[in-house]
Order: sequence, then structure tokens, then C-alpha cells
Amino acid sequence: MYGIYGGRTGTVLALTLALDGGLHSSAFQLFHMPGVLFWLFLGGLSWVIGDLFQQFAAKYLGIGRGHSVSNTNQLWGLAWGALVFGELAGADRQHMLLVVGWVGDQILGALAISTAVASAKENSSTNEAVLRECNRYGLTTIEP
Amino acid sequence: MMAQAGDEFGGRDERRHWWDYAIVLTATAIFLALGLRAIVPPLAMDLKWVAILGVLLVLSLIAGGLSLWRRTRFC
Repeated sequence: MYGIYGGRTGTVLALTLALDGGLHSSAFQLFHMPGVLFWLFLGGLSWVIGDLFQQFAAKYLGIGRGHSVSNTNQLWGLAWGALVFGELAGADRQHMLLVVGWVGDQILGALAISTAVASAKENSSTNEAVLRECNRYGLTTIEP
Repeated sequence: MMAQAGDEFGGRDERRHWWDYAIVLTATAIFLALGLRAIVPPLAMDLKWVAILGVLLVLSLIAGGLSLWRRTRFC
């Protein structure tokens, strides 16, 4: 787990240094504004709490369903952007149509995925995979 | 290699390592240090919606957490 987060941080740091002006990147200017850094860290903490729940979604729903539905967190981001920060206040009709279309697309996709009924074959494969991984990592299983 | 294979805590010594505590303490100290110096950022925000969405966020966390606990016991 530490390796994954270290890899992510290292990758983003390398991309920032290479593509965003090196040490002059606006990302590094944030360290001169300690009063606002807390809010960025708090956002990261909230994200990690969601990530913890996502582990259960992957375990009990599978990556295909769980990860797809959890990506509707983008709707939450849109709600904050539009309602709290007024980011759509100056949007013209074309942009609003794009946003509304995207929201509808996300909601319909999430509904389709979350209400889809798995076939007996898929359920069997899922149970086999859960049992295999639980045995591998010494985890307990629950009855479906 | 053992951690990647899921054997890191398997059956023998399941105590946490010292660096686990060091990570938690360091992260907590960073949060405290930044939190004590935090200011409300100079952004135009609709505080009514901050409150509404904040309450919804906490309620959904509690409802989701309870539901998950009843079904899985977090296992």
C-alpha cells in the first residue's frame, strides 16, 4: 500500500517537475501559503476515507461494478463546484447542455451498472475469486 | 515480497512495526501544525451550500458505514 501511494506521489512530482515549470510550478508556491495547505490535506483525508470504502466495493461487487459506480464521485465534485463556488454561473447554453448531458450519462450508467443482474456463471466466478483471494490473504468470508 | 504475497502478518507476529506508528504520528502532527495555521481561503463561497453538502456528506458516510458494518463487520 505504501508503495502504491509512494509511486503515485513520485509520478506526480516527476510530471510536475518535467512539465509544469520545474521548481517554479504553482504547486510549489502553495508551500508559501501555509494557511490554505490544511484544506488541501483535509480534501486528501476525505478522499482516503472514500478509498477505504472502495476496497469493500472491489471485494464484494468486483472491480468492474464497484469502481465504475464509485466514479460517480465526480457528480459530487460537480455539485460543490456549481453550488458552492458558482463555477457554472457564467456558463453559456452550450456548456450547460454539455454538463447536463454528462450528468445524465453518469446517472444512467451508474443505474445500469448497479441494477444489472449477474448471471449464475458470473456469480460463480465471483465467489471463486473471493474465496481464492480470502484464502490467499487470510481473510474471513461471508455468505453471499 | 512477503507483504506483496499477503504473508506479512500471516500467523506469526501480528504486531505493528514501529514505522506504522511513526507514520500515523507524523501525519497527525502535520495535520495539527497546518490546522493551527489554517485560514479561511479568500474565495467566494456559498456557505449555505457548504453546510447543506457537508451535512449530506457526513450523513451518507454514517449511513454507508452502518450498512457496511451490518453486512460485513468490516471484514
